[in-house]
Amino acid sequence: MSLIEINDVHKVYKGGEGEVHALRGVSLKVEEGEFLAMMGPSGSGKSTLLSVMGALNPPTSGSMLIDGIDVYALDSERRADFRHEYIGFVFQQFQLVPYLTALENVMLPLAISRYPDKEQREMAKNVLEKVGLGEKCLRLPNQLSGGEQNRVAIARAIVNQPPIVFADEPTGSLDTQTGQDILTLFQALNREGLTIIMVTHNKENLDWVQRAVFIRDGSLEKSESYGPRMAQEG
Amino acid sequence: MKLQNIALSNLRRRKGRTMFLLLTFLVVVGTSVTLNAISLGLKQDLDAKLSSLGANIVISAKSEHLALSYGGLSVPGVTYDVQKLSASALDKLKQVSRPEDITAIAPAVIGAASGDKRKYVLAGVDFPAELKMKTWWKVDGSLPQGDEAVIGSGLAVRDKIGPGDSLRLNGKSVKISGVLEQTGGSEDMVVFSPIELVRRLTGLKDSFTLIEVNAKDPENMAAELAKLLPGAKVTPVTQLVEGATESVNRFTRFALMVSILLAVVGTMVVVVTLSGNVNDRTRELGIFRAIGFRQRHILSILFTEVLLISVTGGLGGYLLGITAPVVFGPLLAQSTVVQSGLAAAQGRAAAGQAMGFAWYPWLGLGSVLTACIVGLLAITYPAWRAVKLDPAEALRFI
Repeated sequence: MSLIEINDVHKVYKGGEGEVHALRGVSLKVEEGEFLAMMGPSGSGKSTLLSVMGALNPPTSGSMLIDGIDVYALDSERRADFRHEYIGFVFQQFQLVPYLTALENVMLPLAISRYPDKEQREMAKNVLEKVGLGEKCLRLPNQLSGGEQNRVAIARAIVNQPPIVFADEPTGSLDTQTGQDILTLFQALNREGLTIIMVTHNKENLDWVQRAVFIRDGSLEKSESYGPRMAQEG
Repeated sequence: MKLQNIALSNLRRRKGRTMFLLLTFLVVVGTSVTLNAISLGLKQDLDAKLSSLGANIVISAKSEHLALSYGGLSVPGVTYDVQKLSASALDKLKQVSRPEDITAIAPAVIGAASGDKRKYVLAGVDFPAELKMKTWWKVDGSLPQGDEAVIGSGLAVRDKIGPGDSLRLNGKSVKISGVLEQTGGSEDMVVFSPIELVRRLTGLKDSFTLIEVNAKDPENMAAELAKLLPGAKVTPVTQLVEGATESVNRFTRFALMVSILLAVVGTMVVVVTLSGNVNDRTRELGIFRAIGFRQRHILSILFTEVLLISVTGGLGGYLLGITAPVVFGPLLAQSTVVQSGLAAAQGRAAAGQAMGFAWYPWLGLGSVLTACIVGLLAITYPAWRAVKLDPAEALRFI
């Protein structure tokens, strides 16, 4: 059984200018431990697909199973619990909470967990060390560079050890070197068993992933698998 | 990290908004508490003064008064047919059905005497009885004996005289044995002597100007005394302070209305500010929802924030409000109670003492609770919108 199974998912938005068909019968399977890229031009529906797969955005029709659970059969509160347990997000522009320090941002998912405060702090510090920000854990987001903010966002996404991380254009606003550093970090996490699904429009990013699906006008155009990539070899 | 820490961090790091909300609560609660504390202070002072007056019945000579008006303009009227309050009135007081209900009697003779440069008001009193009733009287020096007098503090300052000096009154030298400390009332400009001396100086023999009486059940006692003393005017003190009571009641109503108005305006300001705050945090709340926060977690953060501000603002406003009357109280007291005549009747009136610092714990509790209710009411709609927020929409996936 695949970790994520999407079957014939449609997503239609109703707005002032009529209906917008964002996803048109998308079917996709993602295996556990896979590092998948979703490629496509702007407006192709890749971010919508990411939000549907991330249990944030119910499809208009079709089904989605994660670890055999029909996510959208759950009510919104149980779906929130599900996201907390199964999914980590790295949002576009990182979306750190501006009034919390890097450490506190990473501790956010743990604030609603059963871990006591001291343990939360230890876990968050360990993850920040892992992403190379141990020294800057008490800084506010506006005191960090874009790459550092991205690392904090990644630390926040993995701190409670979810099996899946969704990343929406994680390198979109970074320079080439910083972007490559982030992808290398993702790759390292993937090697540890984390399933990563990344939305990107940058073809160079495909050097780090195992598979890419190409989306155009809300439909899956093609899927390409790659062997072990250069960074993995390195 | 707990949810409360998130709320605290938000308040601590968004200082401008937090301070604006806090100031709103401080101003609204502070002003309301100030007004209500002054109102309560005036009421309590009135009650305290009434109970500590000593005299709760005043007996004076009966007279008739004709009010005069010219073309609708009132001018001071004419008092005529002034009767005397005979010295025998004191004996008649003992004829009441329950003499044990009369706890103190203080007769007084009031007249005028010419000095070297000006006229003086003389009050002949029975000092032991007078001091028993007017416990706030403090004499700097000694009580007068024989041909001695105690003068009011205003008089002492005006004429630059004090204990050991002498006054010539109607050609007779009267030694000053002491100065009555400032009362804020008419006593400050009066010369007090034993009754016999004043009678000799003024020629007001065998009569009193007024008799102050302290009795249990003053209303009924006054009615009984009026029957026993048909030539006298017997007035329960409660009647004398009707004006003061009405002034205080009017101020209380004003304070209540202003408080309600402030609460309404304050609530609107807080609602608008909190709505704006929540709107500005749409993305942030979307992140919370996306990473698995339940609706109750979001509510917990928002309600903690507003409760922290409300309690702090309410408490701060209360402390501000109970401190302000110490500064502004005397001004208000002088314009209400003092002018009503009570102060003049009882000497050291509300002016100085009424607005002393007082805690009013129920007012404090009410302030904090009201602030919390206002805060919770104000956050209800924005909070409801926040929990209904679609995380995908908040994070602009749609």
